[in-house]
Amino acid sequence: MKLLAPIYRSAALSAMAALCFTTASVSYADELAPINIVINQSPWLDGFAGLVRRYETETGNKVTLDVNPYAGSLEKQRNAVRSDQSEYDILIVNGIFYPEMYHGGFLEPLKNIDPDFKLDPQIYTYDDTVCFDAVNKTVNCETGDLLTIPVNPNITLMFYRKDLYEQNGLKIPETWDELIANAKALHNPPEMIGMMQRSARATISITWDYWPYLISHGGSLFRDEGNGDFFITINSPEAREALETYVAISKEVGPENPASMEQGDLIQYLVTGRAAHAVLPAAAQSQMDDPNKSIVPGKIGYMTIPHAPGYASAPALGHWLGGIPKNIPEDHKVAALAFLDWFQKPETQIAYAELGGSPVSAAAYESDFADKPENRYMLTMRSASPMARRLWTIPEGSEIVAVLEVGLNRVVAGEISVVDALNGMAAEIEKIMVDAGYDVGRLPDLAN
Amino acid sequence: MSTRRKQNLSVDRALLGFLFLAAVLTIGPFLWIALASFKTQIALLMGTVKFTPVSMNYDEVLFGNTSTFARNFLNSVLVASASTMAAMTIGFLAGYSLLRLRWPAWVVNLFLLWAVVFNLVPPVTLAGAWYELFRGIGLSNDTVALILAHTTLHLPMALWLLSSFLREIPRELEEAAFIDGASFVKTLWRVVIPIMMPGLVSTGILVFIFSWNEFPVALALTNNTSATVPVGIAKFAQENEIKYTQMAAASVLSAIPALLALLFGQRYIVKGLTAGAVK
Amino acid sequence: MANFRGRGSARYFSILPAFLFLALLSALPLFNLFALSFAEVSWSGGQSTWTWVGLNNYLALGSDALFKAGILNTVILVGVATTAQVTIGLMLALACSRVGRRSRIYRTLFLLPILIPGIIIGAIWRLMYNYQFGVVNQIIDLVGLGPVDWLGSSSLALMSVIIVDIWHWTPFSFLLLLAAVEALPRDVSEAAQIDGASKWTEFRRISLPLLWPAIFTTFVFRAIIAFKVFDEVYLLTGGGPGTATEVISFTIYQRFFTQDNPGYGSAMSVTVIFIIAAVIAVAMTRQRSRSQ
Repeated sequence: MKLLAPIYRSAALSAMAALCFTTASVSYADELAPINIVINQSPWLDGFAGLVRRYETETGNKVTLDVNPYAGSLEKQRNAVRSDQSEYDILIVNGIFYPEMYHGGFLEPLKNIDPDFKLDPQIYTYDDTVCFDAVNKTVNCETGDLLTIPVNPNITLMFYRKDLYEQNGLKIPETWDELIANAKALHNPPEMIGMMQRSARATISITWDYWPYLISHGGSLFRDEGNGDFFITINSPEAREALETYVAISKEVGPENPASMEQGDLIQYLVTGRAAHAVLPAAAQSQMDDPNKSIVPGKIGYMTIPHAPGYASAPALGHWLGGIPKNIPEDHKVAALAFLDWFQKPETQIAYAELGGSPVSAAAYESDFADKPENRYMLTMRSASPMARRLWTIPEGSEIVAVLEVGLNRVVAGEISVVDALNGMAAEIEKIMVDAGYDVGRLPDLAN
Repeated sequence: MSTRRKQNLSVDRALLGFLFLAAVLTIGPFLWIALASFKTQIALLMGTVKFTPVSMNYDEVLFGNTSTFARNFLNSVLVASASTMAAMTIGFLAGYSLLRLRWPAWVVNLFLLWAVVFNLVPPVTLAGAWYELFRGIGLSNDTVALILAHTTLHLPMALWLLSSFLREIPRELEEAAFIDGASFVKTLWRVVIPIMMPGLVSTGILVFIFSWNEFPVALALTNNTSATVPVGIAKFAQENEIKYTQMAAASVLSAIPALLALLFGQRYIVKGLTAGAVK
Repeated sequence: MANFRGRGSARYFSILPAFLFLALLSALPLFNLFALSFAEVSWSGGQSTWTWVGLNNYLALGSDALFKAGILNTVILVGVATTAQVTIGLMLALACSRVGRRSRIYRTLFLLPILIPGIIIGAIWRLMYNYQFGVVNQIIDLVGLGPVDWLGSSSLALMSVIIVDIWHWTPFSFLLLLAAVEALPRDVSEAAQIDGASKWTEFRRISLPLLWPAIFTTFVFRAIIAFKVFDEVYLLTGGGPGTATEVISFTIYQRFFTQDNPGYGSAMSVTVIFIIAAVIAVAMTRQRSRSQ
C-alpha cells in the first residue's frame, strides 16, 4: 500500500486542510473532542453501549460507536492505524491480535497522553497483557508501558451441569484426572456426553482449548517469552502429557466426532442438555439461563479449569483491550483517555455489570451484584481472572497458531500421533521464527 | 399429427415433473431458513419439527437496540442499483466498441484479458488498497466509494458476458440502420439493445445480485451508517454466539424484496429473455 | 459508409469510461499486489518497511502444504461443481424454454439461492449438516440410513461443500443459459421437426452447436467465480477437518490477512492468477478454433 501513498497523500492533505477550517470554529474550551470507538458486535455490546450513553449524559462529551462484524474487526483496525490518520480514537483490540498492534507501534502509551494516568488497582491486568516494553519487545508490566485498558474479560471457564453433580454427589474437580472421573460417571452417549472441548481447525479454535492443558501441565510454547527467550518448547514431555490428556478426554468421554467440534457445537450440546461439561469462554454464559436459548436454565454451573497435580489452573485469555492509536490529533487522544479513565473506575465497572456488560475490575466481581444466583459465573470469574494466561505475545503468533490448529486437529482426528504432531509443529514453528529473524532453536525431537 | 401432439404433451408433463422436483430441491433449504426465522434459538438447535412460531427474531433484527438493518437495507438498494446501472452501461459501451468499432486486435485482447485477470483477483486483497485510495481522496465511509468499487469489481463480468451476447448478433442490422442515417446512439438504442435484451436482463440481474451480496469490500469501505446488508448480517455471527435465527430472519427480509421484484417483474424479464427469439 | 466500422469519435467515447475505471481503480491495486509479491512488509513505530526479497515469496510456495492442499481442493471443487452447475442449469433452461409460459413461476424460484449472501449460506448449511440435530440427517433417518458426519469426516467434507456450492450457484448457469436458449431461432427447430428428426438428434445437431459459445462462456465465468470461493467455506468448515476443505482463496486470506504476510499472500494470488489466466487463454484458443 505504501507505494500508492504519495499519490493519495496530497489529496488527503487538502481534504484535511478543509476540515480544519470547519472544526476550528466549533471547539469549546471545556468540552472534549468527540470520539469514535471501533468495536465488534457481541452479546456484551448492549452493556457497553449503555455505558457509553451514560458517559455522554454525565459528561456532555460525544462518543460514537462504529459496530462491526466480529469477522472484520481486525481488518478495520489495521486499515485505520496504517492510514495517515486513524478514523478511530479508541480501538477495542482482541486478545488474539493485540501483539500486532503492540509490536507495530500503533498504540500511544497512555502515560504519553497524561503522565499522571494510572491503572485503577482493582482492574485486572490479565497476565500483564496491558503493557508492552517497546525496547525489548516483550509484554510485561515491570519494564513496559501501559498501552491499553481491558474492556472485556473473556477467559475460558469449565461449564458443567450443577444439577447432575448434585444428583450424583460429585465434587468439583481440581485436577484433570478428577475431571475425567466425573465426566466418566456422567458419560452416557449419545444422550449425554461427558466432556466437550473444541477440536476443530479454525483461525483459533483447538489451540485455545489445548492451551490450559499445556500450561497447567507445566508446558509452554516458548521457554520464557516474558523475558524475550523464544526457544521452542512445544515438543516437551510436559506438552506431550498435556496433549495425551486432551486426546484421552476426547476419546473416552467425548462425542463421536470430536475433531469437527467448534465452539457453536459445544454450546449447542450444552444448551440442549446433552453435555455434562464443556470448556467455553465466560461470555457464553449469557445463553445458558435464557429459556429461548437453553432447555437447562439455572442448571449450569461454572468452575475454574482443572490442572495437573502441582501446577496452577491456567484459563486461556481471549479478552478485549481498549487502546488509543498514535495517528490521531492530540485533542482526540485526550478525549479518548478521559473515556477510558472513566471506564476503569470501580463504580463504572459495577454499573457496567448491571447493564449486562462484562466488567474487568475486581470491584464488580466482589460487589453484591456478583452474589446473586443468576450472576453465579461472576464468582468463578473472581478466582479465575487472576490465573488467566496469555497465549503468545509476538505478531508471528498468527502464523504459529495456524500450524498448531492443523497439527492438533489432526491428532484428535487420529491422522497422526501425538509425538509426530508435536515434533512436526516444533519444526514448523522454528522455521517461522528463524524466517522472522529470531535466533532460536527447539528441544530435541520426542521419541516414541 | 395427433400422435405427435400426444407425445409432446407427455414430454411436457415429464418436463414439468422434472422442474417441480428441481424446484423442491432448490426451495427446501430456503424454506428451512424461513422456518428457522420463526423459531427460538433453542427450538432450532434441538431440531424440533413442531414448534410455536415466534416473531422475536424479526423484532430483534428490525428494532433491536443496536440494530441497523433498515439503514443497511437502504444502503444496499442504493449501492446495488447505482453500481449495476453504471457497470452495465459502461460494460455495454465498451463491449460494443471493442467488438464492432474496429479496434486493433491487440487492444481488444488486452482489454478482455485485463478484465479476466482483474476478475481473478480475490476481492479481499483489493479492499486494503481501495480503502487507502478512497480515504486519500476524501471519500472514506461514503456510499459513493462503495458504488465506484462495486462498479469496478463487476465491470469485467458485465463486459465479458455482454460481449459474448453481442457476438451472437448479426452485424447487418446495425450497418443497415447506419446506412439509413441513424446516429450512433440511435443505432444502439433502437437496434442493438432490443435484440440484446435477454443478455442485458440476465447480466443485469447477476450484476445486481453480486453487488447485493458482496461482503469483503463493503466491509472495508463502510462504517456503521453506510454498511450494506451482508455486513449487517455478518454481525449475527459473533465471537461466542452465532445468532442463527436472527441471521435467518435477516436473510428472509433481504431476499423478499428481490423475490417480489423478480415475481412482479416476471413479465418484463420473460419478455426480455424472449425478445431475442423473434430475430 | 467508409467510416462505419470506425464511427469516428464514438469509438473513443464508448470505451473511455471502461478504460478509466479499469486504469484508475483496478490497475493501481493490481500493480500494488504485484509489487508486494516481491517484498516483505514489516511495521514498527507505526511506519512500514518494505524489504525487497526477489523471488523468495514465490520460492516458498513450493514447500507450503496449505497452498498445495488449497490448489488441489479448489481444482476438484471447481471441476465438479461447475460441470454439475452448467449441466443442471442447461437442463433446467431447456425444460423451462420448452414448457413455455407454464414455467414462469419456476424461472423465479430457481434464482432463489443466489439471493442469499454466501456468509449466511455457510452458517445455515453448517446447521443443516449438523451430525446430531441437522435436518439433512433427519431426512436421511426417515429413509432408514444412519447419521452421516457430513462436515467432520475428512473424506466427505469436500463433497458436502461441493453440494452446497451446486445448490448456491446453479441459478447463475441457469439464468445465463436460459437467455441463450430463449434466443435460439425458432424456425430452425421447427424445420427439424418437420424433417422428422428425433428430439435428441435435433438437440445435438442443431441446438447444441448454437448454444456452445454460451455454454463455454458460462462455464468459464462460473469456474472463475468458483475459484474464488470463500464466504461459504468460511463459516461452513473453516478449511477443516485438517486440510480437507482448504480452498485457495481461504489460504490466501489467511496468509495475507490473518497472518499479516501481504508479500507472501500476494505471491500466492499472483501465481494463482497466472495459472488460471493461462488455462483460460488455452481454452479460449481451442474454443475459437473449434467454432471456426
